[in-house]
Amino acid sequence: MNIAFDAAAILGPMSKNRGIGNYTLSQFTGMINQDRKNHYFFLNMLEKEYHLSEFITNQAHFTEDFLDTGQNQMLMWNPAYHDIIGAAIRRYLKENQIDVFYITSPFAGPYIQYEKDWFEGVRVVATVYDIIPYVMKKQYLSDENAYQWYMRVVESLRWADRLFAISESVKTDLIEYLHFPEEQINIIWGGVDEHYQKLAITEAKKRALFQKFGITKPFVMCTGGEDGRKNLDGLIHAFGLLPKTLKEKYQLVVVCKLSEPALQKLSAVAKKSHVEKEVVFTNFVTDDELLLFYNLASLMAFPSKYEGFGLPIVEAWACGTPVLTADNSSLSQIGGDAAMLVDADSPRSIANGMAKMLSDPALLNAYARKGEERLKKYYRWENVNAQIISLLEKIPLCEKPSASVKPCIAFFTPLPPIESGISDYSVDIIHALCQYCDIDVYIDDNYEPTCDFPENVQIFHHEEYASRHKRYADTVFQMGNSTFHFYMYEYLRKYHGTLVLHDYNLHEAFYHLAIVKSNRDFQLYADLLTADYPEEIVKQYLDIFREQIQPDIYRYELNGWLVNQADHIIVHSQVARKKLLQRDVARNISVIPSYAKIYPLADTALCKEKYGFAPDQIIIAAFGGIHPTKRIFPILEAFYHLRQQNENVHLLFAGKLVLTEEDQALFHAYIHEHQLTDAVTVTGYINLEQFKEYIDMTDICLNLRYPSNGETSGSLMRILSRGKCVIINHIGSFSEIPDTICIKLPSVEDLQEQEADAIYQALKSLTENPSRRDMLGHAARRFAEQHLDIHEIAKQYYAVLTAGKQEPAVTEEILKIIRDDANLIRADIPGIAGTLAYALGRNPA
Amino acid sequence: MSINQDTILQEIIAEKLSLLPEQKGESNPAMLDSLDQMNLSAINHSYRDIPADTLGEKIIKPFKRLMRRFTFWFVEPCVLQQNEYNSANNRFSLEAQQEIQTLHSEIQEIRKQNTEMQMLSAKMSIQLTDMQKRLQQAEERQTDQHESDRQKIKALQQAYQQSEGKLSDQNIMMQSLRKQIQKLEKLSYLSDPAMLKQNETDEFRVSFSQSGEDDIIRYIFDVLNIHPGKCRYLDLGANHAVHLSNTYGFYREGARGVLVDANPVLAQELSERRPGDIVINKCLSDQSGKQIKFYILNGDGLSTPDEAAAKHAIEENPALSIEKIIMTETITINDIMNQYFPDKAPEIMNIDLESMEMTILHMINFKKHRPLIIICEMISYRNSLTIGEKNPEILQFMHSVGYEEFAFTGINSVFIDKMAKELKHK
Repeated sequence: MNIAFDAAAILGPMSKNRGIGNYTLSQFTGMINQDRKNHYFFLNMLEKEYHLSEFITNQAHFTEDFLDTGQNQMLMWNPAYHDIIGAAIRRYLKENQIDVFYITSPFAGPYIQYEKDWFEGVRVVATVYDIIPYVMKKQYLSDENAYQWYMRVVESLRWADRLFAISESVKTDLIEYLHFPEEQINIIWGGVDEHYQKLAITEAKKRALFQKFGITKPFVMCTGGEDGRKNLDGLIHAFGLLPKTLKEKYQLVVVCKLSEPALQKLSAVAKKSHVEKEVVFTNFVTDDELLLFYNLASLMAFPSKYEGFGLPIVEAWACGTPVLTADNSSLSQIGGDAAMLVDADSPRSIANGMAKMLSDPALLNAYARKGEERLKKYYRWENVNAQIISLLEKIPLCEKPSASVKPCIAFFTPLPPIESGISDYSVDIIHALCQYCDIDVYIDDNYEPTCDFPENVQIFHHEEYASRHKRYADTVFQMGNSTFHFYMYEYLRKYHGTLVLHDYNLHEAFYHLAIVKSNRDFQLYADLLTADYPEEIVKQYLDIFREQIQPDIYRYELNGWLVNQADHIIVHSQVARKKLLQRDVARNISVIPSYAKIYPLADTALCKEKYGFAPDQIIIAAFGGIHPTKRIFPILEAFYHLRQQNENVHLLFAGKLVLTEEDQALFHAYIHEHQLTDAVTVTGYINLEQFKEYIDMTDICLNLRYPSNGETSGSLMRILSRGKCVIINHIGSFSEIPDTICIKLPSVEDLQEQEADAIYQALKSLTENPSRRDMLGHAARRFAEQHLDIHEIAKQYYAVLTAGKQEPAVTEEILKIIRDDANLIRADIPGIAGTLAYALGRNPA
Repeated sequence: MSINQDTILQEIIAEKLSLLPEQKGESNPAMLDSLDQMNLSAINHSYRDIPADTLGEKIIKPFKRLMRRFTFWFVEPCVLQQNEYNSANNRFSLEAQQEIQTLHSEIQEIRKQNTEMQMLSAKMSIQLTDMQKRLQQAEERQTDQHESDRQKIKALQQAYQQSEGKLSDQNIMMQSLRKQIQKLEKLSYLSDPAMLKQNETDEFRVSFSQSGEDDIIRYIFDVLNIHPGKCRYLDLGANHAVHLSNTYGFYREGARGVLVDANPVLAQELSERRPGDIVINKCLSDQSGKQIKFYILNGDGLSTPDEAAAKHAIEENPALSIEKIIMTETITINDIMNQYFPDKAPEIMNIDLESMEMTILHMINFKKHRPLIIICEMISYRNSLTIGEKNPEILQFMHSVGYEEFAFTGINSVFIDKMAKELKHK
């Protein structure tokens, strides 16, 4: 069982280092240290520097987390941020599979107002220490706001699965005053801290203590506080009513912190009772001094008018000191027959009780002994904790939702024979994904797909989607920067769904749509631009564009027109995710890397032979459409220099030439002029099988790019999965490929005219060093097996597609509100940003 | 720790939270006062004496005390609690106030810097206006048809020549100011067609050249009685259409010619800004119709097919870099001459080819093509003022083909054909 508990009691300013805080600290450290079965999660939203783990010996069953809400907990105080905290808690519960959430101090202050719907599938318990403010509401809750708040907390306790009352009287009060059902409440009592124990005190130590506080004879001790409920004045009055002999024999030592006015007031009471000389106010004492007082006192008097749990009683017992207490609330229940019970409202009754005990040493001894026995039986933490753990374990846990029927997913994508990397991608993804769900594929007009799918994958014409869309758990749109995707735009914009963004920048396609296909529809072009850029910038751009009709595709990256319509976005790289989030943090984005299919590796020499190359010839190859952005000209130049030194190299362009006439002329001229005709091969369009074979026979793969539309490269994934050494450059998502599995050149921007030379150097070093090629190839294969396996990728897809739509807890608007919040301290920003990021519930991996 | 932090998202949110609010109120000193007030009000007055001076008060005092006794143990915890909260809150407010103060002083600092910048810029603009006036005066004099003014211009010209080799700090200032003035003029004159027209009346004229080369030529034309608006020119390495152009001044007056520049961006601009001229977007070389590499630098007029020259420029000025390398078609100087000036060489030939000057001069068939005036760059690119340097090779070569150096501007030499018939007429 996973049990999470909050920090309200241990760290709340009203309870930290005080009764409730100490109680909870003892309770939980004890529970965690003695429980070898359950796991405990401490969710701290109050103090960054606090580490509960310092008190924990059983670390294996303990996890501690801090969610930063700002030095002054600005995220918790302000109701405007309520949902952010809710979302963060919800995520915390889900990610850690919490079974029980423990509210340690529901009335700790106006911090978190827990909401029922944050705790779906989680049992909630809370400790109730007392409902004194409600019982004495005229004194404590006369303020309407305070009353409203208190009652809201009470209401939130109604949906808790269990309330743990710390005493019988608290339970009775809950039932009697607030009408809680009896079966909702368990009594857990409380324990005494091990700090409190019988000490052997030297005479010198005693003298020093007496001297410090002006004590001259045996004393009756009491503790409490300024709150009138503690009845210190009643006790002093009662002390004054003691027989003269006793007053002469004993002093009354009031051990607690008192403010100056309270001190004056109590002094006045003492004076009036003619015992001003006999009453000693210690004011603040250390924990150790308190312990000495408990040990040295002849009697501990605690005639409080109401206590949720009278801790001083058990503390005194632990030090072997007899106790007098009141016959009310929890005090009589805890005291039982082991303490003298008196009427707290009657000084006479208190005085009688004290006199009876103090004048009879045997009686004092008897009460001390009975107290120790009762303590051992009920109020040792190990017993209390064992009981709490067993109560927690008896709570029936929520049933986890069972796997539902296989969902159906709609899938918009081009398919083969359309010559696009995305066609091939989709075929593979659909094959892997249809193990988990049924898939309906929606395709464009005017072509017949040439691929085969299993039975639960059906292909439809896109117009049929409108009548069928309700049956789908989600709809996927495979989007690239080409005209093949135009047909799916209207469906994405109308029905939303999950957008798989293969190219970050869709400007080229958008330009084509508005200017080429729609015959210079400037209004449409403006709309497409406005989804990403402010109107004034769009206007400026269009003014220039109208003159030149030359789009500035790389400078003005576009995608918002589609991305803003998607419920969920899948990208292949962190770079793309980051750019999307910079525009809008509320976007729901998952990074799912491109996949690779992991097949057994082929023999390079055999493959070479098949295509007529000698086994020892070194094949250098670039794959996919041959385009200047794949750096073919610097590659040619580098290859030319390489060949000057090593005749046994061959350059292969495995793909179709996609060049302007001019570039094509340049390309062939270069090959011709440098006598490379026999050393360079261009294959033209090849199918996937050939593609694989060409990779297999290659010794050094080149996968360079500049400029980039932020696309990921399917070729690169295939190269890695085939265990080949590859030269790439620092651009976009390529940068995320670890340096240890490839040769990574600086970006073209950084290299400038040294590009060809850099390629040459890399080629030279790899041609001369076959073992380095092998090493990189092995590393690439291992990486592919671990991170790119299509079955892993399909699982990630499925998780995204079935995650359901979720409203973002943090939006750009909320960020603005927080940014402009007067309570925001600059130093808090990183921490708060962390909490906001967490509350957004996005999966970073 | 079980919280897996999404650092990318966290950083983005932190950045957004760190942006300055759109409207932030000025820091308010009254706020501190109100804090003090709050601290004062936190003092508990429950224990002050109840006055009992008059008889009425004496009677009421026990009741009051009773009341107090009844109420204060209910009220006091609330009060203490509230005080505790208040003081915590006040501490926080103080921190916030300090934070605001820090920000405020930062803003003040930035404002101060801004003011200083503005003052500096105002000072500069005053100097600029002054210089502009003086220049205009000089130019007005120059346009004057009177002999005495010519003498003055001659003196000016001599002063230019004398200044060769010993240019002082003032010259550096002059040059940069001149550039700025030219920029200003380009902006004001070119953006305003009305102004352009007015200028065209020649009430005052401006030089577009780097160091007054066009004015020197104008003087030559004047003496030789050649109408500056009717001359023809060949500008090799034309670079910018207007800015630092040795031929634009004549273009404005109606002259036309051929502009050659290998940089396609500049060639495009030349065609747009000087539609009357023929623009050749090719690179001069020893052979026409070849494809060669051309290094485009981000600095003005420094692009070159010569890799070494490009690297030299970058070494000189690290702010420069190679913007891109393009393939460009070549053309020979004689092909240009034969095609565009088959009968008579242009009156002005300007050569600014970033270290390729000598190569090109060598290729010219001076027996056939003899421009009256050749302006040729005589120094290699420096990021500082070049003093005491002038390419002796070019000087010598020009002598050998019958040209005399008429003027040297510190950057360019103006050569004149000693055998020109215009000279003989005189």
